Amino acid sequence: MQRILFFLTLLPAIVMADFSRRPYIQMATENSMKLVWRTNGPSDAKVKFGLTVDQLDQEVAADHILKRLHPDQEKKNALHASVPPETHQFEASFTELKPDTTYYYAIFDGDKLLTEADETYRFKTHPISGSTAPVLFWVVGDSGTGGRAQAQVHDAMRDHLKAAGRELDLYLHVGDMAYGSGTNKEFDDRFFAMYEPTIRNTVCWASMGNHEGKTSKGKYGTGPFYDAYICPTKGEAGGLPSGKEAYYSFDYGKVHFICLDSHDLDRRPSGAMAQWLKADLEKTKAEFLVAFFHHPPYTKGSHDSDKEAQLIEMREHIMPILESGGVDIFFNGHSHIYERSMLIDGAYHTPTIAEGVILDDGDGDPAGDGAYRKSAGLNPHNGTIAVVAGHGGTGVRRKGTIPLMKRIIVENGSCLISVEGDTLTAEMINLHGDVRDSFAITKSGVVKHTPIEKPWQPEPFTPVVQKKKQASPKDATPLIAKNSEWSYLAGSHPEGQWTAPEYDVSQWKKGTAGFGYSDKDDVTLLDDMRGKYSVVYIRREFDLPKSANRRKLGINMSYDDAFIAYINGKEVLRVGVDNKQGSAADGFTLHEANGEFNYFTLRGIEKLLKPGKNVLSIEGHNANVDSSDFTLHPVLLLGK
Amino acid sequence: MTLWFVFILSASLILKCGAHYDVNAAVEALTEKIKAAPTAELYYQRAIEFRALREPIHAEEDLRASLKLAAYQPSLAALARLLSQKEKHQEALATANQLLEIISTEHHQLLMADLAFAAGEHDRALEAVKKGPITEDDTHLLHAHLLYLKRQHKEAATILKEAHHRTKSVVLRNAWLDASIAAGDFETILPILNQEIETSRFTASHRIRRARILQESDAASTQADLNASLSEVTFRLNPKRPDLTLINDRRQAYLLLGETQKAAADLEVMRKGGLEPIGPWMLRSIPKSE
Repeated sequence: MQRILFFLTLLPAIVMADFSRRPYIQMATENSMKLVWRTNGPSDAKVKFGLTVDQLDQEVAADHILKRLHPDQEKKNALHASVPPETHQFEASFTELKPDTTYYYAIFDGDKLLTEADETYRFKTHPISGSTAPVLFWVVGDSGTGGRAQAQVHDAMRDHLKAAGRELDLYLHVGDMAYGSGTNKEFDDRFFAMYEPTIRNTVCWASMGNHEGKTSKGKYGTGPFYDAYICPTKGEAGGLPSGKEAYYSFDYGKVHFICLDSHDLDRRPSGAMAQWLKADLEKTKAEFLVAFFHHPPYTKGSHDSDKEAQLIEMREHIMPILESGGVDIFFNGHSHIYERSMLIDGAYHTPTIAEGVILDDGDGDPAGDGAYRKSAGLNPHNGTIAVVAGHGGTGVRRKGTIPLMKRIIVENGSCLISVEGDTLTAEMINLHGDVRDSFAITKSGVVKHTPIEKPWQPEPFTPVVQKKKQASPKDATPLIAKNSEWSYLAGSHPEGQWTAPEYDVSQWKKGTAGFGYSDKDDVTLLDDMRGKYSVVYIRREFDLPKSANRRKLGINMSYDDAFIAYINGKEVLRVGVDNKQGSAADGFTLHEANGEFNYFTLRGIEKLLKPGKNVLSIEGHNANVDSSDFTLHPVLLLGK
Repeated sequence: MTLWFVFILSASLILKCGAHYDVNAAVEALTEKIKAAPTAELYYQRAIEFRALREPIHAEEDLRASLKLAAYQPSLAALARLLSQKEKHQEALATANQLLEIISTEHHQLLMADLAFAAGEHDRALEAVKKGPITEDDTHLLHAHLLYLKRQHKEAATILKEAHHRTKSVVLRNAWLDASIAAGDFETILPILNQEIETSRFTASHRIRRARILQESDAASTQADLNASLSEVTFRLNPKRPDLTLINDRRQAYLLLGETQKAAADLEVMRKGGLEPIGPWMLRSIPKSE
């Protein structure tokens, strides 16, 4: 009641300011914090704070609020030139705070309260380095589409924590948070707007992805990424000074976190980043060690760590330093998939092999094979877990199998990690809120591992290979012509065996092919599709002449992005979809229709066909629900 | 402004074509675009993708194709680096010169310094590195190393100390410690090393520094430091797949102990792994030997 009364006294003065970037906190330490926000135009910025929400009895000194402007307005501490000229960025520094303590804050323009009267405007300082305070953190990568899947992943995490009655202590982003080029606007729309409820009270510690790297430079610490984040350069948060925001470390209780720039800095052991890493690892006396960077040393998701230079270099050059320093777990993005390894050590070979580098080939699940065990404290080469968490919002995909992986999940999601006592516990939560993977590392006593010569291996995976373009036969007869009428279902998934000839589609709509939106090549416009659904189902009967050469049937298709075709209930063609069907389908390859038709011969279907009535059913998929366009326009051809 | 627009357009095209899922897809998308309307920027973009796929021959071809269309600055810089890595030093320097004639930024000067140093042209490297960016650790590390080669140890230490004061980078701090030891400034450095050894989890690199200082005055302490360093490195090393930076520590400990054969063996391991020590604080990456 007291709190309500306090805010009621403020109400007349409340004006919802035109924040161009709403407030978020940065660079937490044991006794300090930064608060950042942007306004369109000038503001008499004031920040009040206190230990209770109804007693904001302290104020950040005016000279502790740094104002940053467009370079045309002021050169000193200027923002990247791409910000709108009227942008004002404010960075308030809270100092002399108590460790492990929650503070509440409010932002004012003069006397006007700009932030809502809300208890969620708060922050908590880090506990004293080395203390036993538990930590709970969220790990997300490759999220920056601003689309539905990203929002679902975020919501799923928040709902999961709410149900458990827990709160985040910090948030790690492993890069690619603002597709496609990490511009200011992309940061606003695809990061800050999306995560605003979380980042107003939880620090996001970020590593730069290759997409942010299009406009920001790690070497110089410039660009929208470095305007957005305030990272330690002088060891302010517990690690050794790196002199650069691109790579840094910080402590939270007994956990030491290390962020590296795998994108645009020298990754070799002769480089400054590797030398800093070695020194930082030698200094820390933490009990758990967590590293994060964008490019994964081990992946066969949308990227291949056996073939790509940045990934190979992180594996060959940086992993030996991390493992001789005793890293427990490391998180990456870049590859749009969730992949989680067994307990590994020394897997630096190219291509990656499992023999002799896996220390424990169990699942690490306390409810399964049991937690991975390590010695207490930080010990070199005592085993680490690799986690690729590039599934935070964009389209997921799989190319193959890294033999170190225990879990490979082609779904959007994120990871929640807690360290409490001697145990690190991790969960992967998918976008629906389901826990799809659980594992733990327990560190106590002395544990010696012997590398397993023939460890458990994940099932091999062969992706669907895209066929080379075939020319459609010139003398073919259309059994289903261009712009034919089809029954279609959009916005929901069919129940039962919808591809079976006898399936009742009387409730489905009728429409003329092509189906889709945005790219001006569609007849039946699905204007409600973008952001809401990604699959469209269509069906149509066709007559097969008795004299038809059944080996000469083919589909000429204009499509974006992928489809699966069925004849009389059996799958006959799959293009751009790696796994499963319907709502469960995943592993998409992007494809643009561009007004073109691609011909696909249907092979091995002779026995499925019968003279007279047959049914062709097709499910068309957009790789991303927020894709800018969709097309599905089939033609069934019979050659001579 | 135009170049920037083209860059954004290219990036958008790559994204649209699925490149942010796959480097090969990026190459394919750029190939289509080049077929339709080749530009220097597009060839450069594809060269970068080839570089990411570790295909230097294709990367070089594309960079040269890019430069046939225009004197595109990023292509000149990338080609100069690529040629240097292939040890075509004179052509690398000529390419960098071409770049500097178009635009001479402090970062391009640092590039020239790197290339000249790799070519063994130390005076040329020194001249260029003095114009390098003051904000860059690499500028000061290389500048100090070039002075070290001229036995100007105090000057090297001064440069590193000033740079360290500016950025607080521990890499610069450690280089300053090494340069100061080379300059004989033991009084300043010894208390720092003692404190580091007391407060660090792993201490070998600082113990080896301290052994350098004490080797002529305190044989017992030197021996103890070096033995402790060797024990620690052995504890930290994965013998089958060693961290080369630790091998470098061990090599230095062996040298100080007079165990030259063991030091030479470690040097060989480093070289096989593509790393070579070239001074007290510099390491150089070299092509891996087979």
